[in-house]
Amino acid sequence: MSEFRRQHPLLILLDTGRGIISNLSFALIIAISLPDDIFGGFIGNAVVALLAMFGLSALFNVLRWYFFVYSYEEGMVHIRQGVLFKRERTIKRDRVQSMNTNANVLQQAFGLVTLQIKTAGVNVDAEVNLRAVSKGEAEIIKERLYSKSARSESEPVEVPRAFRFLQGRDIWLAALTSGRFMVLFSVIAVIYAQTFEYIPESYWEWAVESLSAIPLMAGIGIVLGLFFLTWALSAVAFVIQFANFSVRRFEDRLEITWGVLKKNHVVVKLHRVQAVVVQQGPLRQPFGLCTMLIEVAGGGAKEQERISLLHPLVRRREVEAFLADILPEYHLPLVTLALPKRALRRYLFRSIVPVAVLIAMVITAFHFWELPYSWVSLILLVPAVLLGFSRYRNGSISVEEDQLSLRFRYFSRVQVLIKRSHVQSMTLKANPFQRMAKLRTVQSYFLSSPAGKSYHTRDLDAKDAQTVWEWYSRN
Amino acid sequence: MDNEPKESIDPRARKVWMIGGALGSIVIIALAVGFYFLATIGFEAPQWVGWTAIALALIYVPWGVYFHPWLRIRFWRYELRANELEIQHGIFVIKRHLIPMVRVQYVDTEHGPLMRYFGLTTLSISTAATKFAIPALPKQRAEELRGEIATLARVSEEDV
Repeated sequence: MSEFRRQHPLLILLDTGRGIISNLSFALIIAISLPDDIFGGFIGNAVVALLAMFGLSALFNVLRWYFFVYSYEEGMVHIRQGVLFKRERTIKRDRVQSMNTNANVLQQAFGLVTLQIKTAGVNVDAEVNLRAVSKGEAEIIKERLYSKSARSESEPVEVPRAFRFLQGRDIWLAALTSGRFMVLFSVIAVIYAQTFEYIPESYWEWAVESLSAIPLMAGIGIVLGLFFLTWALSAVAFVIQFANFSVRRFEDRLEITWGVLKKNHVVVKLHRVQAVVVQQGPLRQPFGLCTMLIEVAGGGAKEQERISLLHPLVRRREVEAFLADILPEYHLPLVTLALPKRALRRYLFRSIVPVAVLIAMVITAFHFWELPYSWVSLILLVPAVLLGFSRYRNGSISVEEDQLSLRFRYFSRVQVLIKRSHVQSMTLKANPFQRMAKLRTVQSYFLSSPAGKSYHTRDLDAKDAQTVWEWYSRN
Repeated sequence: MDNEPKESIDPRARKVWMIGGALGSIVIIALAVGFYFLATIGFEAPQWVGWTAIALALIYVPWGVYFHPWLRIRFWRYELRANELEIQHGIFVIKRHLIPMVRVQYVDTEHGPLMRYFGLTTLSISTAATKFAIPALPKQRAEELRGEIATLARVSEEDV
């Protein structure tokens, strides 16, 4: 066994820096609760409390760094950690599911990377996070843990079978249609809601007066301007996040890299891919653009570890070619079974009811406070009907050879491709109304750790559902 | 739904569920009576608040003791074939599951004190993503099934 070593001391700085925001707020609370005369007023209290918190967390992080040691040799990695409660762990080559590296700006400046080694198993904890190892060392550890057989086949230099990049115009196209500005917009809304009560009332009165002085068009202009600003900002953030995106297909694995400020490198072994998801957000569908995702088994508990981005932007008509190059194991279905006409009623019902309830509440509330124009809320019925109709139009299922393809829409249109051997179990469901109309919901479960996950298509014709059922049945 | 799986579960299950429902009803009535005293005496709420709670609890009794066990057993079916297990259950929404043997990871049997008194056992089957249970099988049948499934599951070796 090789000797135990520690990670780079920069880790102490990283960890202490990470805790600074929570420490800051905690220190402020302490400073407020301390009597004024101890350290000379509020500012003095705050400084002392902050320094104390900072010192404590630095000390804790030094201890944690000091007691975290690792060693590696051919085929295994050992970890020993814990200040009071010691924990020791050995990871062997055949348990390793994937190894990822990423590096933020600070790590890059010191030539360090975070190395994540994930193992199979439901236990989320069963993984290793080395957060400050040198780039070279990470490569050596990865080399030692790669399975022998996979390596010997492809020596000396492995050339990918196929690869795709995202660059130039496409990355901006992806950024502008990502729909992330809505998230940013809601973040701004949340900040607004949080700070709302701290803004003095006199300021509000002034704001309302000056706003009502502005002509209506200018007011709309300000809102639109803010909207486009958040859009542009989120697009730039997207471009920075996904710059240099590339996906490479090797014989036994996919290697996906992206990012400038935080460089990510994800290796997904092929046998861990459980499903391919072709997603079209409302902003992308009109332009015929898709996002390709893969569902991966044996990842962590967080969503970004279970679902890997296969490619941020593929044109709809190029999906087939993309799959043929990168994942020839999957294909788009040629023939799909659409939903029967009598299912439309149920789709419309499902999308209208929540909106109708909302409208009823709005009208009641408006009536209660005697506000005019409550009928305007009825306009919401239009998008609800359109959504229901679109969900109906886009629902379909297909079984071809050993692949099940489901297509459905919630807001984004999603097409899921699953191999029969990856469907863990299948369920047919029917409530009394579906039984009367001879409709069935087909739900298929697959592995997406830590637990299972399922996709379903609602209100298929009972005969079509039976076709799928028989395709899955092994008798 | 048509083509139901062949086998029903043990009719004694209804007795177990009825007793379970009766015990549940006692707890719920006790809670409702407790609520009545707490609300009317403790918080001086109007009488009807407490009576509503008791009425709701009383309405639950026939459902929990009679209708639910009866309807539950009515649609419960399962069928074990060479390569797969089919399970059907539900009262309003009827669900039918198909579990291929190659996907089965564990088979367990378990039973509570009430089930043991009637000589019944619950058989649960887990795949990598899902878990199913056949409640209330005769103890011997459950053990046979567990053995059969375990053997069948071991036979074929498709990749996950």
